[in-house]
Amino acid sequence: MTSSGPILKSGYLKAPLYNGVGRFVCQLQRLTLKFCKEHGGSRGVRDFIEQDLLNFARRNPGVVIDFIEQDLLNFARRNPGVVMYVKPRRHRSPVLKAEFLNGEHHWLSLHSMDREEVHRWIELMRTKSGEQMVRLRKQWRNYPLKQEKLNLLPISSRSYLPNKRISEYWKKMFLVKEAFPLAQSRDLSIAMISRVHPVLGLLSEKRY
Amino acid sequence: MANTLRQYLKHLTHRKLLVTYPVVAVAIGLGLYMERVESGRAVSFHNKSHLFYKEPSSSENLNYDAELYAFGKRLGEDFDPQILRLALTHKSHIEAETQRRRSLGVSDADLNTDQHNGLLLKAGRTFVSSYLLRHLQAAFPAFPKEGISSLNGYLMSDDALSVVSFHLGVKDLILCQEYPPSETTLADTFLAIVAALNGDAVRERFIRDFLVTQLCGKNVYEIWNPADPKKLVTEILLATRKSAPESRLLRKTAVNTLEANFNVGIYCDQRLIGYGSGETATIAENSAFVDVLRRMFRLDDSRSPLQFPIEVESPDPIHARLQARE
Repeated sequence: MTSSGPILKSGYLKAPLYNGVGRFVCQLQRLTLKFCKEHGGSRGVRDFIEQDLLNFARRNPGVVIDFIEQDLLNFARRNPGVVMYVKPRRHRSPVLKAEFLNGEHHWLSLHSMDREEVHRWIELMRTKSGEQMVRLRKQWRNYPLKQEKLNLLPISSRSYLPNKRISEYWKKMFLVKEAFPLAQSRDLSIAMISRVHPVLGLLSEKRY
Repeated sequence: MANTLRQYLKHLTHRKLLVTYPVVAVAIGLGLYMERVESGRAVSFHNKSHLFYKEPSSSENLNYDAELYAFGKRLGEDFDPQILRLALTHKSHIEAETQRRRSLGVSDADLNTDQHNGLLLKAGRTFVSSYLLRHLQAAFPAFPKEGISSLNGYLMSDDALSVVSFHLGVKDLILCQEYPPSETTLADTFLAIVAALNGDAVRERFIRDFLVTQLCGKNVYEIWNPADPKKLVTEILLATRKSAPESRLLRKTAVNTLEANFNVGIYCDQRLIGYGSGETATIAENSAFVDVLRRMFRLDDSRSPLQFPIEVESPDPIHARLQARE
């Protein structure tokens, strides 16, 4: 996955409604399992429903699972924490639809998955925030932007900085002769370093 | 029938029509697309729900009781199901139901027209507002009254309340005439839900956990922005029997360039009480006064983050003291 491609949008890590600052709320609101009662492709989903679903519902009373089937309705009645439907659809591929509190819904094909896999996908849905998947951006970077390079070049090419370490580092980073006119003022340039560079900024603030 | 026709048209659009009658094909294609857009089924690549508000497919056969039960469990609250249902029922729903029964000629004798959240809503609004005031006063002890009340106003606004309400998952549970519910309806529902909770302590915790946390990461001065910081600083200083503030240019650099920088300090009784910088002396002076205000209100950048579980004074101090003695 390239970082510049259009496939994934980029963004910062965030929690819906500052979840967890006050109290934690499970973001999965509704789970609908659609499957076929006969077809082999739904085998894993049927196994999951027969063996795991009730346990899942008992553990997570906040998630509404829709059940239509008669037999399971009895189970659901016995467990007041869970009310359930399952949507059987003849000869159609099994599908999972998870709806989240932020209004998003995620749709997932469960075709030919075994019980274990179905279980894992449902666990994933339970622990998701429901936010759109994004490529995470970081608040820091370990390279200067082009603009910063242009601004800082005069410093790099002359050993302006009183601190030896910074000067050495700077020279290593830009092995360029003086290509641009001097910055207007040395103070300003130092102010710039402290503003733009995460590492040098800290160092220069400490030293001067 | 309509569905078959549409399928047929779609087929034609893709195959034959496009070659023989391109204009007609494009028109039909556009029509189909517009229909999809209107019904909310158009496919956008990123984040569909923001562009097209789509009704969840399971909402046709939502189990309302189960949803209500899950709502309480999810938030970790024990609601009385009757009261919660009342809190989610808006007046417009009752009115529409009455209208519908009348038009069908069915008796509406069993329909109680008072069974909506009007009263809960009022009670909730009063409670939330009074708790917010107390909480904000405890959280920002040095903040002036106007600031506190504008923070309160911000949190009580439909914008803030509706965001919280939406993320609690009430969208599909609200009984009202409109879908999706408007911001006002969502905000009102939140207030009614607070009133539906059992006990003041529970309500306060609920408001703190869901509403007050909305202040996370917000800049207080974006919510309350004093129009004339200089005037305010002067007033405060004079009220505390200090001399009027003096602003002095501390340093300047790169004057007459694009990146000119002025640094202005504010002095009171020959002590530096705050400073700020900007591209002109006036801007720098203004930001210096804002800095003074920040320091006065103990809301400077080095302040530790907001603490949410804080000691909040109870509404009646005497009552609280008596309780403590008991």
